[in-house]
Amino acid sequence: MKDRDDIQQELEELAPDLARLRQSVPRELAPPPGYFDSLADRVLEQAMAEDKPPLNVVWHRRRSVRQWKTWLAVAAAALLVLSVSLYVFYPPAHSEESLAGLSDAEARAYIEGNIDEFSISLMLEAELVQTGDPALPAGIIPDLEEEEVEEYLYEILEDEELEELF
Amino acid sequence: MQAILTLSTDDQILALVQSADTKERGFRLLVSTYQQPLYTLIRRMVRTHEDADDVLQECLIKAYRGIGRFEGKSKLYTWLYRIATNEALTFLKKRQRRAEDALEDEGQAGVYYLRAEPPLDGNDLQRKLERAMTQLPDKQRLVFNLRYFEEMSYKEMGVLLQTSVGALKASYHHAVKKVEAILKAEM
Repeated sequence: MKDRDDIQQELEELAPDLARLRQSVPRELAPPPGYFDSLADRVLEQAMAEDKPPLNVVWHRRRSVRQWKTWLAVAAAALLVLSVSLYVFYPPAHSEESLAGLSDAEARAYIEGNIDEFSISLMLEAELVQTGDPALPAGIIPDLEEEEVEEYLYEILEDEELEELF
Repeated sequence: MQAILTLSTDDQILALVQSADTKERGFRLLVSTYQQPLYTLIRRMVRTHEDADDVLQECLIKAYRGIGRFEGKSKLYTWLYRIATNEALTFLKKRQRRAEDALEDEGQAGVYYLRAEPPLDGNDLQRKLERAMTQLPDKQRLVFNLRYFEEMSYKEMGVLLQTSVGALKASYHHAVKKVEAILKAEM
């Protein structure tokens, strides 16, 4: 009550016309009839609808999609590994057949065109071929004298390696 | 005033909303207790019933979600009024932004303002008062409403609006002088 009196007194001092008007102004504003009857229902409906887990549902859906993606990726990777393994360990027979169909001249021409010195060194080292082997392409391993070979080896090999050889 | 009358009701509301089983009942009690003062407060700010309905529903939804975290540091009605005033001011800011956008489209702005500020119910003098109030800045109008219509003390208003009593007094006095000057000019 004191607050109300203070407010009215303050207003009368500041703006007497406004203070008088205040006596007749309605304190409450009325909404359309029946508005408040359903307000709580409407608010609760909205609040609960937003609280209910459409988010959880979406999350489950997302998780489900994510799981599918994971499974798909795992399956694809497994398929890839299987395919590569099969190709490596069980190469297709048709490649042998197609090689078998090559003449010696064609095979030699292919090797000469694709082999390099490094490959030949490896083949020699593994004793898969011998120097002067007719299978080796002509001109790649030159016919060298023994001294020339030794001289070459002295140049490229370390002392320890030479001791092992000689 | 309201707080004294509803003190026991506030206690009931807070006790009921703490439990999931009775939360809905507690919230219904809250709505039935505060819907009228909240509606009036919001309606005075946003003017139309449709806008007041939107803002009030948003306010009550926020109250429903936040009531579990209400610590009782302030009175329940102060807490609700704070939500309501924040919602109303946010709404007005958005409406102002829309109006400014409409200003860019020539001819749209005037139509928009007319639609946005329809007169409230009441006699001619009351309508003039309402019209004069629309010329106050939003926050000043809020202070005017809280003091002039809601009979709120500066102290309570300070808690509600997180503003000093001195600043609120200055704002209210300025608003009163301005509204009276507008009314005198129209008479």
